[in-house]
Amino acid sequence: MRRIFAMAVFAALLSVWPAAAQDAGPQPAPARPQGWWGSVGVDFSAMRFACQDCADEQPVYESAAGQFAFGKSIGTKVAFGAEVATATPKGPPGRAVITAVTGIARWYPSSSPLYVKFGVGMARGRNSLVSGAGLYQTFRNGVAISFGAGYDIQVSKSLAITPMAGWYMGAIGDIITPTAVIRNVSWNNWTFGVSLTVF
Amino acid sequence: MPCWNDRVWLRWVPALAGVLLVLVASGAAAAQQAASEAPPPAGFLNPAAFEHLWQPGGQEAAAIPDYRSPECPGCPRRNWGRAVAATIGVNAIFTLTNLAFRPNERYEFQVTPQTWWDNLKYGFIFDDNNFRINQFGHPYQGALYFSAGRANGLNYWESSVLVALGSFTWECCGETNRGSINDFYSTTMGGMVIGEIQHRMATLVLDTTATESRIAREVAAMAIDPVGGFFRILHGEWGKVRENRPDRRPDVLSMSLHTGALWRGAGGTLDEASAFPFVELDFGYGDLVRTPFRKPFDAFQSSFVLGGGKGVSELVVLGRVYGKALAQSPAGSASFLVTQGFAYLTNPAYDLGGQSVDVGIGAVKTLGRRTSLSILAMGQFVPLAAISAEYVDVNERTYDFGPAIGASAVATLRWKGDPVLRLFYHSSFINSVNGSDATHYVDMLQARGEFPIGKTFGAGGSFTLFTRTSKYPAAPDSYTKYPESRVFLSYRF
Repeated sequence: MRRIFAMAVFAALLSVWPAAAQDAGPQPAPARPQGWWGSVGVDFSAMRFACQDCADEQPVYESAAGQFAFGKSIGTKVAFGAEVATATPKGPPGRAVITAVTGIARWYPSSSPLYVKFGVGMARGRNSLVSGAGLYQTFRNGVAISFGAGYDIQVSKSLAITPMAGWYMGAIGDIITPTAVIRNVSWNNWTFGVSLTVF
Repeated sequence: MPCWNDRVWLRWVPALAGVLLVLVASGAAAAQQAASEAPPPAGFLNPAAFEHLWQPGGQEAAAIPDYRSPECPGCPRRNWGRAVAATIGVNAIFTLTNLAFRPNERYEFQVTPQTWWDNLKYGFIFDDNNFRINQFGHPYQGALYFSAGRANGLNYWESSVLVALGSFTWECCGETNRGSINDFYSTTMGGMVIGEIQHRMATLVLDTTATESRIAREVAAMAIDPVGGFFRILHGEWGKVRENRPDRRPDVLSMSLHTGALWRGAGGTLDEASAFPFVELDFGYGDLVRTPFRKPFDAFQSSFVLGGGKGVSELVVLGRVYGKALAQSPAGSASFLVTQGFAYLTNPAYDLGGQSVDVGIGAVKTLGRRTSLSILAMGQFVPLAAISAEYVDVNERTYDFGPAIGASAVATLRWKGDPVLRLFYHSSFINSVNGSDATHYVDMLQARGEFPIGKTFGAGGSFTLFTRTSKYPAAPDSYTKYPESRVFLSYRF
């Protein structure tokens, strides 16, 4: 978790950096997406699974992750859109591809390009688990809820670099393998990363 | 996760709800009486009430200033700081009250920075609380956060951020238990719906120009919206005579009280069903189809039922968050609607609940001088619905959680503005992600007739058929059918 904390501090520093940079000389004023926008980015993911019969102390799986989003601004403070976020945790029980497809709302509370976001939608878990003597694959769909924050650092008229942090909660129900039933699987996925935002 | 209202506060919910029902009834009747001095006439879906609104260009909408406008004399002063402090304050009150009145479970509320960090580090899970706590108690808790925003001049969407903040901080930091995903969702989405209704109903009851019966109005408004009432005292507004807010009263308002008996057959028939008394309050605020859209929840419908086998057995709300007129004329109207819904149905036979987002079309057609037909057809998405199921094995929980998609349609025939015949159908598919490993198919069909007796009284009955088909990969599938019939007398305010 120390590494996650360090990543959070790094993301926060990235958010503060543009203000300092602007003090140093004339820069374009911070802008927020107007009209249609799209973004694509990479993240560091720290994921912890939970299940009904599992112990509280579950390990954290760190992996690379990515997200893609697009949408449209409504007025100057609110943007709606859709987001696809994927993480690829890997560990002793096997490996998984966890995807959250959510409808999101971004809210810019002040005149700065800092936003908070909230999303609700579907989760999909593709798991390759070691079960007995072999590897067993499962696919389950479920629900995902997310929230997070980001800061659009404008680098040209229609491009911004956006440091962002997110918390994705998901649930996919039971995972059934030939030798075991893992009941009520859910996860928490904390992400820290950066994306390119076009608007 | 358990909170103060889990075991202490919720015991008093039926009694408080009864008091609230009476207060709302008396308050809204008073509001209607006050409003009757000004045109237009306010019969629900009375075409005459809409004639002044059918002007092109939305002049009516433009005439009402925004909440944040200094030209809005009756609106609360905007103050983000106080709103956030009040949200955190609500959590502090819950925690301190639990510490004071639940000595045996005090350890659950002895929070420290270490417990906060642990909860953030481990993340949120699904909890095992009963249906009433998760689907009614937590949304009510969320309404308190929402009211903190509304009482400090924030609009609907801004206040929704406060609900998410209050819910998140309670789940992570108000208890030592692990935070709950389902509570975070139901508190946030349910709190927005219930909070906005409380805010609008309290505003309706409270007439700030009134000099007579003013204290009674203030008390009634505070009973409906406690946080709003607290801030009226804090801001020195309690009893102060001043202009009302421009949007205090919707263009149409309706309220009716139904009381009678219902029979519900758990075995698929009504042959051996016992009778239960019930009281139902139906409230209509604005018109989902014909009231021009200005702000979220400037039109909503709600139904609240006490009795019928349980204390609070039904709370169903449909509030418009966006509307666009597709056709408007004296002969008929049609609108595209996006609504936020809240459903809480609990009885000895089944539980069904959730907070939805709905998209659809509403239409009203004038059939004659006194008759009209309204139709509402909506598609529905519920990220986390709750439904009773057979093989749930999560401590005290007897229901599944899962995302749901569905559709509903309702057709209402009105005579002189009053509903005389109503047909309702709802169908949904729920994929359980926590509880039993199941997929549920739910259908509800209802027919309801009501006949006016004089200007204010009526009598009627309804028949409802609720069915659930549940498919379990690791257990036998089940099919359950619950018929229900009601007879009632009604009073229209």
